[in-house]
Amino acid sequence: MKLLVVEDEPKTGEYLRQGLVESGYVVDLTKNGLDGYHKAMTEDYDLIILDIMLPDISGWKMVQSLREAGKKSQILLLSAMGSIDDKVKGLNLGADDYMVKPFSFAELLARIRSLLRRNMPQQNQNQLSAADLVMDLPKRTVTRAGKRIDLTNKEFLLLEYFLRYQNEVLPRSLIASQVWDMNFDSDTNVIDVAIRRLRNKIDVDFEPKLIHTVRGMGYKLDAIDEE
Amino acid sequence: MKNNSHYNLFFSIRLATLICTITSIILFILSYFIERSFENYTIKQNIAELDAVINTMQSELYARDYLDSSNNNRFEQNFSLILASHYRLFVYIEDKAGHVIFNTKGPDLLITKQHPEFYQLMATGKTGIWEHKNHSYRIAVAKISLTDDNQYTIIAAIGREQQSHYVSHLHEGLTILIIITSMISFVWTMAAIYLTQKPIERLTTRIQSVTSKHLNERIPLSIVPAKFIGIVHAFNDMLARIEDVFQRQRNFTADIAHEIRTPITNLVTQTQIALSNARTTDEYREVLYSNLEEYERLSKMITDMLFLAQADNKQLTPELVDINLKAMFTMIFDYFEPVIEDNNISFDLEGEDLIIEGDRLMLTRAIYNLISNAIRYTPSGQTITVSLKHLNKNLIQFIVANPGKKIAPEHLPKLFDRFYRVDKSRQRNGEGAGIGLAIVKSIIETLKGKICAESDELSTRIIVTLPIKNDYQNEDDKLRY
Repeated sequence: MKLLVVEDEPKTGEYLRQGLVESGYVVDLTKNGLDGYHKAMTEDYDLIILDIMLPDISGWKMVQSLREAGKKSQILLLSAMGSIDDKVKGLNLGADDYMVKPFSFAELLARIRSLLRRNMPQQNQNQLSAADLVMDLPKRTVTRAGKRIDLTNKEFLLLEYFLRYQNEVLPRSLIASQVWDMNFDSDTNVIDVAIRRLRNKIDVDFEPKLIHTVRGMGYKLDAIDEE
Repeated sequence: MKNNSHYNLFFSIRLATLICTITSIILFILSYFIERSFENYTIKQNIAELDAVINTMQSELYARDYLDSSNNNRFEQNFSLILASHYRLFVYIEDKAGHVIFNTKGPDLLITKQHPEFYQLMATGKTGIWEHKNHSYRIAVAKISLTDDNQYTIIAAIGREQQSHYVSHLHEGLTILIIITSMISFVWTMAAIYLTQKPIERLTTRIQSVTSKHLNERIPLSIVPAKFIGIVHAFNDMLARIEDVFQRQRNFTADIAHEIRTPITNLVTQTQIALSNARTTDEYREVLYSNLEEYERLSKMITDMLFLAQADNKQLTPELVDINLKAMFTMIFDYFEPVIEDNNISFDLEGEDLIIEGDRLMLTRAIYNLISNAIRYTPSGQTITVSLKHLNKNLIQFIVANPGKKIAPEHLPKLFDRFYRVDKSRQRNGEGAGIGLAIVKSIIETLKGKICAESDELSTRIIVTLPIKNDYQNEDDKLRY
């Protein structure tokens, strides 16, 4: 997967590149709009991370030109401007997602993954599983090591979300937004409590542990117990 | 200030001149009518005098011809007696044959016969003006027929000097009156303006001395006359309100500095200690995690501050959609379910289904903060109650009530201030503490609603009123803020 980062703030750009490279992506970084535009036009990127306030051409203009030129790359806008109008404008011009600075890297990563997945064929699964845990979607049942586990509606949705994005770090804000539709910076300890309760049901009496806390980032469902 | 007083002088002179001019014009018109009516009166007087004289002459002639024709002397005597009581009145009488029967000394009235109007006057019985040797007379002519033989022509004239003398006297008097009155009105207006202006100038000086550093000063009521006390009261009230806002703003700035300084101090100290000795990788990692938490807290606080600043500057544009408030509460209760089960508290949602026009994200955030706040203060084992209802066809109301310690009335209005804490000594408790309710207030006001708090021994209640349609305007609401 090849990514282009257009960011004029040197420190932000450098950290973004490092973080993304370490997450397994091939990353090009340019520090101004013209270079970025040139690269975006000449090479094929799966995703472009674009700062809106650039010294030469604005991110708005670039999105527009790239879409007019028929470029199909996913575009994620990054901006310090967080008003709804700005977001709507960005999405209308043809961007695929919009994130407001300051952002958490974990959330950016999760959103990048989600954008890149859009292009892949969706497999319609009836069953999700991890280690000996099995979730039956049509029947809405969960079993672990053959034992039936009773979950509340929200716990079921939360577990389903973890199972769909196995091995990915899911930041609390993203979980709040995806499972509870809380699309703002909410007090995330609610998520911690919810996950603790879920763990009590699916992890406490079983090995290996499935849900792991990734400190400073979020949670991850992983069948391989790292401990 | 200098220019200002020049301007004031110019203004007073202009106003005084204006009032003086108007007074003069009114008086002038008045005196014109007075003079005219006086003149008419004197003319009528003259005519009446002439009539009276002619009538008397007529009866005297009758007496002479029929009663006592022998005594011609007595007759002349009578005539002279009659005329003596009239000033500058002249009479000429002749008989049919043209013999002069009586003629007073003075202008030769016979000349008037040569004027073409003479016979006209005689026919109509009207009076006319006769100019003769620099004098002006009003004359009347009468033809008297006692019998066919005894026919007389009487010409009577009265000098008009007296009359025009009176009129010009009156004219002079009125002119002097006009001049004096105008002068008085000018001076009076100037004085009145000065007397009114003086306290206003004093007031202005006092008001100019009010600066942001001396907002606690009030204008003393004693420096102005009674009629301006209302203005001074209003101004003092305004000062009090501004002072309050200023004070809050100042506290806010101090608070935000404090809120930011605490985590920064933590970060600096922690990093310095970490670097002061060689550590294991795990220890470094521990420091970074701990730092990350502080960064996140700071970042969230800045985001919240930005949100509030946008709300303050009216930069938030709500994206209006129909929202079912009951469903929204249910969703948020759902979200908090794990936490309230942990704390052994419960929710109770009562009331009707309410659909209002609002911004989904903003309302979610406001309700989320309200519930989060309620959970924080509800003791274990108790219930948070939310009730929804229509107030009227335009407004809805929801109340979030949580049991807990009573909040003293003086704290209630400030509950929605940024970083305001009922208990001053209370330490930061969790992220964003002290700003959640301020955000709720901003959101509710952006959506043209109202928010207030009540508290008693049983519970603390946050009462939110929102318009059903967002274009609904309530003048009352606007005045309140």
